[in-house]
Amino acid sequence: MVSWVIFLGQPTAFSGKLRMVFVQLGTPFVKLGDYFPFVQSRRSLAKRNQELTHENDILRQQIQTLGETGRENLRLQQLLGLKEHTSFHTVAARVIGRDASNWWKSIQIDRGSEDGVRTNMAVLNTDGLIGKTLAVTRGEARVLLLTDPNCKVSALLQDTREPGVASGVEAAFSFSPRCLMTYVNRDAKVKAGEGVITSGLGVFPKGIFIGVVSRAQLNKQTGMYQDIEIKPAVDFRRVEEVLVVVE
Amino acid sequence: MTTLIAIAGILIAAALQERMPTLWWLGSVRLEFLPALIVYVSLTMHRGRALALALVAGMAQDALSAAPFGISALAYGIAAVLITGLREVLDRDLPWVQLGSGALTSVGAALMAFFVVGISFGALFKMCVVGFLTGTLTVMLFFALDYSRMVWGNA
Repeated sequence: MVSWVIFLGQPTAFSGKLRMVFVQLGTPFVKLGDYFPFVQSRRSLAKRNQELTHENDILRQQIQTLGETGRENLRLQQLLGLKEHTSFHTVAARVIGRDASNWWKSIQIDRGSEDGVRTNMAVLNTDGLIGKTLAVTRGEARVLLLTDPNCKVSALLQDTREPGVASGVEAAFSFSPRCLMTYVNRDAKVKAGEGVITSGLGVFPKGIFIGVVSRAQLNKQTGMYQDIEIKPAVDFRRVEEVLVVVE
Repeated sequence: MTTLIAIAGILIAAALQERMPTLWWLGSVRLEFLPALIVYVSLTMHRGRALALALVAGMAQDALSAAPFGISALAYGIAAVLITGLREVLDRDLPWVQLGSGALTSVGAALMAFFVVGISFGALFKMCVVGFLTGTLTVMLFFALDYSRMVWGNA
């Protein structure tokens, strides 16, 4: 039993090819779902419209504020002679499927190696970090979500600048997905509401928003560091389009 | 021909399982159709064919998931072997036998997953909820497929 799991579970050439065969067999059936969109009630659409209008107002205000901050940042960068901050080169993709199992958290997107997508590339949307690419075929890719326990992200607290490792909480019974940031300095003054971003170490570029701190407590087992609960910025249930950072 | 139809059915069930939204009001639980199908083929077909279909179902599920490839195939394969072995004892027409077999197959797959993702009280509770839902789906699937076979005959 163990040898089976080790043999097929490891990313060997054989298990990889076998997986790709099944992905290619199953994807046409997954795409069939596009022809049966879920009908939404008028009431829920009206509610969603109201939410989006409100969000739009807030975003307009933020754009004005950030525009001024951006110009100030540019002036300061020029003064300090810093290298110009380059934005990510991304490929837009549509979510065509979720995870078929209850115990892992992933999504399937309609971009693959033909579009420049490779494994271990960061995936995000306008709200923040979504995860990283896991298995890529010619036309599709599977994205491991930030809320999966196997997705580890090198993270940084925005205000205190304390580093740590963010990952999903085990596949438990939950109404809203959570993440946990571990190995944070025990003496750090972490407050609820503080932002968490990627640190730039590993596969994720620096500065992608992960979420906000909802609770911080000393690690119960060792007491050597803090465990910080993060509320992800992305609503994973509603993700429809994503951006894959290809460069 | 029956095997090809069964494979197509498995691929459709895997795709449906992947496309269906989770029941967020029930703790983001996802309905599982494949364990129900495996119980059906195990209580209907020969052992060899049932085992092959269970392996195909497990691999189809793993391919459409972030799971280590083969872990669900192993769980479903073991379930198929056990159920076909107990077929003399199990009366396939009894709803509680169908419910129990479906629930236990789902629980077996969950226990296999816990080797990788770890275990907690929340995960155990979710496993029970998923097991019960899968058991209920199994009963409904038996009714639907047996009725279809009765109407259209054994292909």
